[in-house]
Amino acid sequence: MMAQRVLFSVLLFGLILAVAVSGCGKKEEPKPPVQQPVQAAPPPAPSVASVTLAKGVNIAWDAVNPGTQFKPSDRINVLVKTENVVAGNLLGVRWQYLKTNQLVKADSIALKQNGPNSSSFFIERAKGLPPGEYRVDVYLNGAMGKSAGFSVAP
Amino acid sequence: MAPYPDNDGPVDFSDVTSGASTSGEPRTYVVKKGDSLSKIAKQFYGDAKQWKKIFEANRDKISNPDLIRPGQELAIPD
Repeated sequence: MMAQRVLFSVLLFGLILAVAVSGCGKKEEPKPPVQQPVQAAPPPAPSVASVTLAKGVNIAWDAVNPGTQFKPSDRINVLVKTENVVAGNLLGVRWQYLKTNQLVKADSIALKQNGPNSSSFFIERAKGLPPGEYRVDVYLNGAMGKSAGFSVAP
Repeated sequence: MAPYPDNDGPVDFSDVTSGASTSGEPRTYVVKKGDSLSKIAKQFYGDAKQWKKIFEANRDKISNPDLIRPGQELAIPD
């Protein structure tokens, strides 16, 4: 009877010990990675895509007689294509006469539609523009976009 | 001041005229010296015969299609 009790105790102890040891070695299941919320890509910034000098601009906003050489009596147009703009963005130009480093004219216009826009600006002078080199600088929301040079000759 | 500088002095640009237009608003055109409705139609539509379209759109400003003035702002229909 005593021996049976001892044997039972030993067996019970062994069983408990076995369970304990197997529990220690047990690896925890890896937790699933916490999913980070997807960050939306920021919208592309408004930009001046192209600047084209021409004698005219047609109904489809294409340059008519594009070029960089003009006569003093010509109306000089600059066709500006912008992208990724928001209605209300401000497009501006500064026409410069390089011989005397003078500002000829500055103009601006608020763009009317979101996305791509076409705009045009012109200068002309009844007495004729003085011969020489000129440049037109295009600004979008106050930041310089693109420039284009041209010349006036009789 | 002379219209053309004979030296590097500044030029008087106060008489320069300018304009601006942008997509999404009605198109207009400022008449310049030597223009005619045919010439304007040729520029905008590639077809001088479309002058009538411009004339009809500007009946309130033009009574005679052969008489347009520099500085007049004309509506250019699509």
